[in-house]
Amino acid sequence: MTSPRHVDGAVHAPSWNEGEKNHGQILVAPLLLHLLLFPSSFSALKPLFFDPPRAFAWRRKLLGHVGGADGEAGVAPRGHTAMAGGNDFQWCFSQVKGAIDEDVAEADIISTVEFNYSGELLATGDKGGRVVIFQREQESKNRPHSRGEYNVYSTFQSHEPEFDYLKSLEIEEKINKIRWLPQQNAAHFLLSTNDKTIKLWKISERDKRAEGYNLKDEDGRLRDPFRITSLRVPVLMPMDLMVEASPRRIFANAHTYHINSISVNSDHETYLSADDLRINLWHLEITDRSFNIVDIKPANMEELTEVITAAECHPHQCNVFVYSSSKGTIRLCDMRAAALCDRHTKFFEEPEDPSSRSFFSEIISSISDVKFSHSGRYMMTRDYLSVKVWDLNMENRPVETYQVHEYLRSKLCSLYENDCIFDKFECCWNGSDGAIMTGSYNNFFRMFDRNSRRDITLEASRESSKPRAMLKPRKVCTGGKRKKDEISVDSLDFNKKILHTAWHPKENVIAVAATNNLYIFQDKIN
Amino acid sequence: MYSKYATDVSTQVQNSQLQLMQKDVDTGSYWLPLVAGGPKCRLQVGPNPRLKVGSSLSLTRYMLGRGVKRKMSEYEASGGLGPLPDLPYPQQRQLVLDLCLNKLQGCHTRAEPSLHRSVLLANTLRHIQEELRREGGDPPAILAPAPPHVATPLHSPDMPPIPPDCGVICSPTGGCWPGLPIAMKEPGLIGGCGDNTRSSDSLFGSFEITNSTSYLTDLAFDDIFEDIDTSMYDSSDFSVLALPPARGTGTTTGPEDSLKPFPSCTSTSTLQLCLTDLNDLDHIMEILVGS
Repeated sequence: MTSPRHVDGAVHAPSWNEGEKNHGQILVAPLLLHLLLFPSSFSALKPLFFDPPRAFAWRRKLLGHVGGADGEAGVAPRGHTAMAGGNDFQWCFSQVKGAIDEDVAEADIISTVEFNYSGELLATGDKGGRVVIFQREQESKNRPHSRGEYNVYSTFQSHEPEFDYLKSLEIEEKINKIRWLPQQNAAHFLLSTNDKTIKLWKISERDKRAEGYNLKDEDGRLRDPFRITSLRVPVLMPMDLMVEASPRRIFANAHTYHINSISVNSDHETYLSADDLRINLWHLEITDRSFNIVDIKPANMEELTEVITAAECHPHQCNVFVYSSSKGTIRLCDMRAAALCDRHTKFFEEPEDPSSRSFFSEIISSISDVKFSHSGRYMMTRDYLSVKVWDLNMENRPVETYQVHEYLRSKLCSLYENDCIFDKFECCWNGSDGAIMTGSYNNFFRMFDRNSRRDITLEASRESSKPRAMLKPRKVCTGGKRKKDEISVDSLDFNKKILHTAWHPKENVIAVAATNNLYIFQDKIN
Repeated sequence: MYSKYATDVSTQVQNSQLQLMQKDVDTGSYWLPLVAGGPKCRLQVGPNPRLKVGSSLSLTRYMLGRGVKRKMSEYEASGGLGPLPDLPYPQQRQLVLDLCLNKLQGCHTRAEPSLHRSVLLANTLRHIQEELRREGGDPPAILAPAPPHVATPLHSPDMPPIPPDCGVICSPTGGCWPGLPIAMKEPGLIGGCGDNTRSSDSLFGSFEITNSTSYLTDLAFDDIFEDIDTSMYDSSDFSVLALPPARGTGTTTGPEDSLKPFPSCTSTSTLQLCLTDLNDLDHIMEILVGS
């Protein structure tokens, strides 16, 4: 039996947040019509009817309001409205960054996107080792409709390509992850990492300079002290704003394998870094020492069957962290238990559904990203075909499962052949933990509303990139006849993949990395 | 990409009969060392004649397929469907297995092999092997065929004949597919492991002798099976991942290699190489860095 909590795009309900009591009424008409027109899609609805607690609620509503049909029947789903929070809104285009050229330089491909804690800054890293930071402009009264655009604030080369002579291996400069530190003073700090080396960067502004020294002459040479006859106090003179990025700490030589995650701890003093087989704990001030807290490397590498794919610190409890594995499991560890967290405290695993077993079961169950909710109560994991939300108090199955692109299940062999099956999609929460977002192929990205259990597919494309243009929901045709406005699975472009997305911590502003372009979308309140 | 795939599949199916008649030789036998330090055994994984075209074409696909944008007309012409639903299960499995091995082999050409990817590939390979073994019911039956085409005429007489009633069909290439359709049981295909071995050897003249043949002569059949049963799948062992001898090229290892106790019995065990490499380097690093 399929997982009882599948949510599929075929469920047509016209609105996100109309309030609980209205749900049945508005839902029924389009649903019934849809079923009449496309009986094949009933299978997609099946999960609803088999999900014990929720489906019964839905079914009750369905049965109780059959007569409530209205004029909306058959209209394309207004699923793009209100994705999070209680307001009714639609996503619209705000900005796109990056070149328009068809030819994309490898170095320009964005490899990570991250908002800082206030959402004022947005950092991207690319395969060329660069970090670009965007800052949100203050909203101007002259242009009331422009709501704080993001403009380049600072750009710097974070990592350079290196060669490991010992191993005779090239070390790519690609930025694997960026993590902001909570802001403590006027300056901003972030950690960036490539496969091997983590760096702490300070980004600070300077708009004044000291003038009026009389100890040195104009060429910078020290003057003869006997010729200095007066005491002069330098004065600060205003100058053009300059943003400086300077490397403050370099944490190197601690990872033999490829670093896949870094995560700043809630104590704001330590952070962890994870590679394929080990997790290290660092102090932000200390670069020559780190504690190895997890090591799953078998004595004999030939016995290796599992790797660490992601790790994250709990947002509030500085002793708790989780890490995910290539076998689709998540381990929660408590650093108070022992210095070496080889033994987990909790083990999250969903039993495999035998009906969907295939050659690729293990590959597609490998977790590509794990993220705690802001509240710290839940965590979300992304595997190849789905996103799962886990309650930290329940280890045996996720509380919610959302299908991201279930239509690819029949294409797994091809995706395996062209290596797409190894793509590592990330996922993110919105600020209130009420919605989640993750990427897909064909420049599509998906959002799931956890309360209404509605989902939506949107596209990051230049075509809809007119200022404040509303994003049209996309739909992939899954078998049967292709309807107007639907795209067939076979015409999806698997070279256009959205692996990295970020959600503003407080507002409905999202950043979506599509190859070498960064799209920023925001809500438009109706 | 998909369309190309679909086309390939249809070609495979069309050609399958033809190939059976020609008793063509597929070079797809892979050497799979089973236990670290233990004796080695051969697992026949690439003998399915139906997939011969597929496996050779898949190489071209790799060269063309990646990053090439598919044209609309192309995919419409071919129906644009994935290959798997069209193929019977054993063939699907074979296809996946071939791809797995190809990918593992290719991993050492990448600048930095991804451990994550290699482990996933290796596990998939392992699962398929285990399934193959289990499906045989009698595990030795699957692995038994001590592939006649790989053994040289010199060695093949040493092979104990397999009882013709073993219920396993041996394809001309020596692979045994319990699930093959009856239609394929034409004379010369059945019992090819036994007395027919010698006659079929002449067909395999193009196949290179691998180093491993020599140890087969030294081993009683039972020993090999014993080995399989006890250790191959119990220890989740990377040595299972040894790769096939490079196709079309001569195998590279000399006979003396087979004497080494080292589990890798082919020279092309790339994953193993890169893993042991990493392992060793890791060790060196630890010493040098003092971590």
